Amino acid sequence: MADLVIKCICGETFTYSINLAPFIEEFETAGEIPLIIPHKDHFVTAYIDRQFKIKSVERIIMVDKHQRSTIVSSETISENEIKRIIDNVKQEINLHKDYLGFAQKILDIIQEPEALFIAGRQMGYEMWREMRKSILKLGATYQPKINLILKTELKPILDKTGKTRLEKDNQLEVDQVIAPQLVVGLAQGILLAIGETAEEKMDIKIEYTIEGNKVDLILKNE
Amino acid sequence: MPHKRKISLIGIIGISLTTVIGSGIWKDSLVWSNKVGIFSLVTITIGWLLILTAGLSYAECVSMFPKSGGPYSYVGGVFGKKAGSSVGILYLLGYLIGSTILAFLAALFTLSAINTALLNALNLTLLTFAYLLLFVILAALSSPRIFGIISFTWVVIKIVLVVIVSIIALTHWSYSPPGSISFVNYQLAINGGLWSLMGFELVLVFSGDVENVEQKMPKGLLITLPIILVLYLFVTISFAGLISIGEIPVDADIVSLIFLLASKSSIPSWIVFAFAAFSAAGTGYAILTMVLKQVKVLTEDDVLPSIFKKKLAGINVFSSLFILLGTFIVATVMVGTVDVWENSIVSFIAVGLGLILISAMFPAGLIALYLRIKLPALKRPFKTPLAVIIFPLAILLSLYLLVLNFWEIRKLWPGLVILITFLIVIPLLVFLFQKDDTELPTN
Repeated sequence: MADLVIKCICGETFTYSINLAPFIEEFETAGEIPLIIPHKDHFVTAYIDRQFKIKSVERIIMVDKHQRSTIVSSETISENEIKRIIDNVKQEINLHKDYLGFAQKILDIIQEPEALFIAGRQMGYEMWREMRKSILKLGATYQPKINLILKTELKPILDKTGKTRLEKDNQLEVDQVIAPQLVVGLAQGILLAIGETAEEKMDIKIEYTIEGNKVDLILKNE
Repeated sequence: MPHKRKISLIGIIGISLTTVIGSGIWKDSLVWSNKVGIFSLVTITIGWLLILTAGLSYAECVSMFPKSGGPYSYVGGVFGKKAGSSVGILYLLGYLIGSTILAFLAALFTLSAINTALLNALNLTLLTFAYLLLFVILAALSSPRIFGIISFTWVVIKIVLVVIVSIIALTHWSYSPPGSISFVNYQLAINGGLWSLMGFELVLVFSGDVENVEQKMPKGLLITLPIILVLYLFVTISFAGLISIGEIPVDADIVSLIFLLASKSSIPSWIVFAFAAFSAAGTGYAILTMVLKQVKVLTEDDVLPSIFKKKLAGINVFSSLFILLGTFIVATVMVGTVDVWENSIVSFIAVGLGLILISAMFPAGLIALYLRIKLPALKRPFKTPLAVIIFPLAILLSLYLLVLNFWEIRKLWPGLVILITFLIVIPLLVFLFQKDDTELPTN
């Protein structure tokens, strides 16, 4: 077990204990790994090097399938397990027609914020692919323009999660959500799905803040 | 599909040109000149600019969606499979009638070239059948690439023939002062120009058979449209010197117009009729090949029964027979009844054009505009300039043409009844029997 001392974005410094042994191979290949770590009602992405030292802490989600974190710091639930849970819930509730019902069911099973984020990511990916299924089959591709993507791709899906408001060209507020971490995950899932259809590399990162049941998403070019 | 079987840029240009340059080019310029004299150069340019709005709309659509199916795919992709299927079937019917009309015109000109005494309902029907059979056999045997090459070769010969006749016409050119021309005449000449330039979008049905279609198809369309304008301007200049305003009788039919062209330019009439027959046949073949492809696309997407997927010796025998049967029925009703139903041909032309306007021209501007507003993040390798003007113009143009299509309602009301029947029955059948699924073309 390693004790990580993390200076959180919220201002507090806290210690987080984690067994990093399963990630040794990733440390060897990548040098440092991003790790999603929960803290109170939010979570952060901590970059940890081979010496298990914290290199940086960000409230940022990288939208790149090669950089995104596949590691959930909690050891109680794996990404595969999360996928299995989502598949099971899909048998009962239609994600595309009843988001709130689906999210509620997921919340009954998953409580860890970082696991909710991973679940949201998969849901967002699937919701966007479904929403754009017919044009994707026609071979449509996307251009990585933040303002356009935020308005016409992210917002229509996040409208299902709560009350959305476009703050700026690159900023969207989602209020009255039932699981903020799920919403941040949705956003990343949507962007990952869009990134797969774009011919150019999509270098977009998400910055977010969570206050109670409100999520503020800011998209930025890397 | 292997690269060697794909349609080349030359093929795209050939197909687009041959679908526009058909039978009309042999008489349209005479009709316009009869209305506005040398000012027909202006009217055809205005008509061309209006048609360009639809061309630009389609160029943008195909650059976003590089799959086969044309209007069917675009409407389905944007408004759902049922809407797409309805449009796809209406489009298919429109060009099924269109190809029958072209086969009829080829038959009419052929018989006229041989002996006008042969022009009767029976001969016309039989020869129309023969042309349709020939077109279907050619269409079934042509791979997309071969189709492109044949179309290009055919249209080059057509253009050469038109240019030869136009040059001869120029040698008989005489200027007659236009005098005062009424606004109605200008309008009629522009209307005539609009009709002549329709059909170029047909090549979009083959988008899936074009390599690098997002780049090549818009390029092909944008090369084709100016060629059409230049050719029509040249023919119009040449023919405008042959007749003076009001010289052509109001009730002149297409045969008498070609006789007039032949006599005014001192070319034996059988030669002009033979050229016109060759020209109409090329367009008929291109349209029927597209119809066959459209049946294939609709069948693969389960819009039409799966029996049409079956092949014998690598040939789509069942879909070919289906098309042949469809065109034979149209030809029998349209041409076979010509002795008792005076307006049967023009009524069917109005039905065919109406179906094409509703299923192809109208969706062009509508979809391009809708996607600009709703999906601005889509990648558009070709982006239409002044879209807020161009796309609404394309929509208005198609509505205008639709009204114009049935302007002579007293003569064309049976056509309107047939069109409305199609417009009700086809979507009704689609909505009743098709599964609710947004999946669209896979090829």
